[in-house]
Amino acid sequence: MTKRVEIENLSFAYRGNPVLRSVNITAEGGDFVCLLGPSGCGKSTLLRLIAGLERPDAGSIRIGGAAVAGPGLDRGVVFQDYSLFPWLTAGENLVFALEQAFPGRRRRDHVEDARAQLGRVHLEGAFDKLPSQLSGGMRQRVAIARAFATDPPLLLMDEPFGALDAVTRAHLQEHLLALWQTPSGAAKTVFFVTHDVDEAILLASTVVVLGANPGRIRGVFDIDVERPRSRQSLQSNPRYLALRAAMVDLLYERSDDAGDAGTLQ
Amino acid sequence: MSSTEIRAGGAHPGTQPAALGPARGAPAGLHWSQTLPAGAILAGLLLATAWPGSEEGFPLYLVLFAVGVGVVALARWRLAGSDVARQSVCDVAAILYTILLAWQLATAHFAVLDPMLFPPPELTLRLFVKELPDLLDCLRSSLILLVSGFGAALALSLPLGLYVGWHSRLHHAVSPFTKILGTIPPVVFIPYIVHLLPSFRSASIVVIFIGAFWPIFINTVAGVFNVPKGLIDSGRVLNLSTRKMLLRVVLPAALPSICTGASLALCFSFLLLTAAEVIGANSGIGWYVHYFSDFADYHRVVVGIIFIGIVVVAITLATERLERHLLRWRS
Ligand SMILES: Nc1ncnc2c1ncn2[C@@H]1O[C@H](COP(=O)(O)OP(=O)(O)OP(=O)(O)O)[C@@H](O)[C@H]1O
Ligand SMILES: [Mg+2]
Repeated sequence: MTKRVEIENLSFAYRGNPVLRSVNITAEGGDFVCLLGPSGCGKSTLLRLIAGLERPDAGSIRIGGAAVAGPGLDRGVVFQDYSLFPWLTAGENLVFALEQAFPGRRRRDHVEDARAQLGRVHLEGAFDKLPSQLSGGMRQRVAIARAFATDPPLLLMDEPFGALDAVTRAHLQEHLLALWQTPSGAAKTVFFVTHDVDEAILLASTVVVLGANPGRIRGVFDIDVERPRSRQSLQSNPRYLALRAAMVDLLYERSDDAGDAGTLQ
Repeated sequence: MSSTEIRAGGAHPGTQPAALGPARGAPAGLHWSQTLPAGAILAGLLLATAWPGSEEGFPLYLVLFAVGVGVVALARWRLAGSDVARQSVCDVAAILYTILLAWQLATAHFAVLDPMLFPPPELTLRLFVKELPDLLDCLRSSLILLVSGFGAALALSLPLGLYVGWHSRLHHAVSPFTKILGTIPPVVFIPYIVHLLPSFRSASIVVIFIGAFWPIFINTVAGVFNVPKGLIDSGRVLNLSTRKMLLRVVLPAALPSICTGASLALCFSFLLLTAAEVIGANSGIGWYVHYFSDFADYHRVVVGIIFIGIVVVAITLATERLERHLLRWRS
């Protein structure tokens, strides 16, 4: 069950301060979309709008044809922090989400399912650990396992690896891709916020570059680099280098001497 | 354990700061030297009891008590998990013995203090044992008032606080009133409520209720208000119903603040309980002290005060345990 996401003419302001202006993005079912942009350009806001945590001032967001009216379990969300409830163990965090997503099933099945999901991110031993007893990387793995556990067609991730060191980050990127590329995961449409160009190219099938003041789309790139992509092989891939250069140009270009860039494919 | 650390450090000369050497170098086992001060003061105390003073007979209760404290302290010292805990057990024992010794010397030996007002330790202990059944009866009567008033306050203020804290319009509408009502010292209600209600017991329960209500309510509201927005968002993306959001996200997230309010409320309750008992009861631990001071029986007053102290310490320790258990998820 894939879900196409259509964002049309989306505008949003926080108490009169425009944050996003006329944003249009269409993601086909199964796309991995990275939202890339400088700090404060509205990436988190865009994700919160898709999650249904904020209401747009103008324009619309449709998921599988239906307009977003509020939060829903068809979207799994991973925040940079605060995703897990600190008073629940890692396992109970997953069980809690599973109970919400599949009410009526027996608790024993939820527990078993939660164990299996933690196993997929190699954390089977962390079931009874509290979030405060886990490292930052482990916590994010639990959060990702929880997002996948309820099997939503859409995944929204806001800089889930932003606070991690480079090595842990690389591991988690692999974990995420491995989950996304399984038969059940491949159908998932992903929106992934980052401000790291390399992370975006490594993960995405489409990168949307946003600009600030107010947030708007500066460019859209199809990442037609073959998978599996490894950090090492990318370094010598001419297509990667060209994409990277174009994105870096767009990101570091001073916004006042650039008009709204057209779509670059 | 730490000796292997030292050896590991020794393999890299110069990396181990010299200042750490002596502190870490001591074995993690038991240092008998820690028990020396307490032991010395205990010996002094026992010596003082053997030295014939103003009192008649051998102070058996005092010796038994001092030795009993010593046995308990020694057991706790042996079982303590850390060096800090071991040291503090010894320090507490030493302070307790110092107080006993000073008390004994000042009353039984040198009669510095008026024997009417200050009974010597032996007499106090003996009286304590004799009065214990009566004191426990009083405690039962007091606890019924305390539990009813505090329990009712908790049962009402917690859900109300959750609800008011969650609905920000209600929160803003109510907060001027809570600010005024919550700051009135509940003691001032006592005479009024005593006149208002038919019996003393119902009046004290209401007074305790009022005193306990506001700290829990105000801290619950503040706790709910300060729940990190990210946690609420995590609940919202799971599509929680308001009921589940309040019970499974907001309540646990606000629990640290609620616990603060509840322990404050318990302190207030105890204060109000004893104050109310002094005014109009015919039983209870506050009444006990008040009653015997009216008869100028200050020995029983001292015994009552000590008993109240023990009760308060026991309640405090129990609530601290409960709080630590409830909040064990905090790092
Ligand atoms: N709750 C809020 N109230 C008012 N303004 C806000 C709020 N949240 C965000 N903003 C504003 O909206 C703009 C976009 O914020 P947003 O968090 O979406 O940026 P971002 O692209 O995610 O930045 P970062 O990379 O630093 O996370 C910023 O100018 C910010 O000041
Ligand atoms: Mg952000």
